[in-house]
Amino acid sequence: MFRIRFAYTSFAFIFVAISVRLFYWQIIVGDRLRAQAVTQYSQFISLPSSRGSIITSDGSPLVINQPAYLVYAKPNEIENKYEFVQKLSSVLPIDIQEFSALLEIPGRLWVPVAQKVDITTKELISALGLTGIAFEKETKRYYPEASMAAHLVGFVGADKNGLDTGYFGLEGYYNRQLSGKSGSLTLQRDPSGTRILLEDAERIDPENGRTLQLWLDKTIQKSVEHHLQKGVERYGAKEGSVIVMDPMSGGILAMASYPKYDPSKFTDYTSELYKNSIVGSSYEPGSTFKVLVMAKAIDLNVIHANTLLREDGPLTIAGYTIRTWNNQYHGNITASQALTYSSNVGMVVIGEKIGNDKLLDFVKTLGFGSLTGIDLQDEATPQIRPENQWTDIDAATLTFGQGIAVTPIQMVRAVGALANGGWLIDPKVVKKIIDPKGDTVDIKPNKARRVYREASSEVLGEMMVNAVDNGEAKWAKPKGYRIAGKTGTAQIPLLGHYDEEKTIASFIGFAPSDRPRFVMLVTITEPTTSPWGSETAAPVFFSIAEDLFLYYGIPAS
Amino acid sequence: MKLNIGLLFDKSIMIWLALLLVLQIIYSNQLVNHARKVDELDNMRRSLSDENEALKQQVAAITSLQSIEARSRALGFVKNTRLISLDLSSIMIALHAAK
Repeated sequence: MFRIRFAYTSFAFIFVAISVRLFYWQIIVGDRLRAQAVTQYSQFISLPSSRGSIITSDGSPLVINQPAYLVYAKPNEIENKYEFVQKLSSVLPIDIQEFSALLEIPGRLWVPVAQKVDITTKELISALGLTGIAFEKETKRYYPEASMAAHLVGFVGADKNGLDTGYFGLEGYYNRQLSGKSGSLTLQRDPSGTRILLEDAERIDPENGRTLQLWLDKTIQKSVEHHLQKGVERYGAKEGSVIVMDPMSGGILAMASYPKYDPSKFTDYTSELYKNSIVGSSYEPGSTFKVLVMAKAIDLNVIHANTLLREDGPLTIAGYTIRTWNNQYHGNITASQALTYSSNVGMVVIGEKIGNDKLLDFVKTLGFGSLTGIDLQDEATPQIRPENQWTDIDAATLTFGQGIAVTPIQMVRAVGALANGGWLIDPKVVKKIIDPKGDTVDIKPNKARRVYREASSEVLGEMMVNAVDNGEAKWAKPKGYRIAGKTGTAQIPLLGHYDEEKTIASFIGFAPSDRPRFVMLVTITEPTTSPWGSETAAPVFFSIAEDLFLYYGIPAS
Repeated sequence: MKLNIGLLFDKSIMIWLALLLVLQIIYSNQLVNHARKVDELDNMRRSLSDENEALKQQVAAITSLQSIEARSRALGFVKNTRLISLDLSSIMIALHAAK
């Protein structure tokens, strides 16, 4: 009997002891133990999305992804830390002292060594046979055409959380489309590391980024960059830019600024170089603006191409004297000649015929003072002064492009209207957005509004051809081609005055004038060999135009 | 009431239990093998995807204008410097003439 009671008591005691222990494990420390267990057998794998590519109009890659690796060390697995650091430093540029100190921090399980390491370096590290080194796959941007169209493309850097983010240009503007969405996989593994096949493994597939197909033509871009660099160097200029647009669709065929930077090594360059001056910087357009005012005057029927204008000396307006650029005066000249001679006096007379109110309205209608809507992150616009702040002298200087600030893209868009029959078209860089399944969204050209009658734009085209054939830049023009264009030389405003020596030389035009394939603007900032657009920007324009004629198979007439 | 354990675990039940145990072991073994296979395939897919990206990069590098320009220079091609147009029986042809 005693033995039975002893057995019962023992069993009861053991039962209570087990119950107490189970209560402790399951209720008191249950949450902590469960979490600990989950970390032991569960594995969370991030499935990164692949950033979309950027391709040119012919499908050639401009920006693609390249496999890269995050290299990290696991200090608790390293056998000999001194040897580890020494060997690693033979492959990677690491600060030995700083890195050794990081490895010695107690309790540290993970020490990053290098990010975005390419596959060759990864293989070299693996060949060292180190224990306690690991890799995590990531991608980095690869630019097969090196720095081609760098200002247009932008670059990918890290955000405040260390994640890839696009900055500037297309990478910035289309960051959400390009980056896609990361996925994840949660699975369970046994102690040997083998996956346990369970139905409740959670998998969220990543959504890869979309591919952007541009209007940009790499052959044209190459030619533009080549001639621009040559021009800036030859004319001893501070910088320069070229934009080539299809006037019918608004598609940007080429866009380049010089000096440029290499987006794969953007940290090696000053941040001032990141800005795309074509969409983000303003300048005074100078005489290139005359074609727009002239076209409006013809559109309003206040003049026609042969209307005679008096140009027999300087004009005085509100106490200011307005002269021609070379201080030469021709007496009575036609409107067409006013453009050929680039006569400031002639333009002021035309401006008076239009009237100040209409002139200012027209400037706004042409899109100056507002964004063009180009799909690039860094677009900015200079503001147009309120109407009540315009004086007679302001309106007078406006007619020859001084006293108004514009961006190069605004100028190209406005002159594009003369090339396409009078329509103001929104400029676009991206032609198509292609999702990873291959579905395509076409970005249709958008005609914002009609700003000239078709007939007016045709007349202006002829006047611009005449200005090129008989103007200051005729020496550089390719023979046998009808190119509509206009030179410009604008002084640079400095502390409320104009700098006497520094200029922005430009040339804007389109060709062939009868059926324009492109409208192009060349700006050369602060050229030192000559301040004039006809001697700096125009030759660059014609060199590129010559390449374009050959590329498009346009014969001389 | 006395419980006769011998009655509950007679021979046939023991055999069934043993069989179920063997089946359980075989099933677990297969599951582990499948899991290993899945892991292997996953790794292979990842490695092929990396290889594919690396190949894409190589193709892009080789077909870039920079490479083509360098190769054409090495092969002796020169940049055309003059554009001439020939009027061949009303067909205009534009040609670039080498220096």
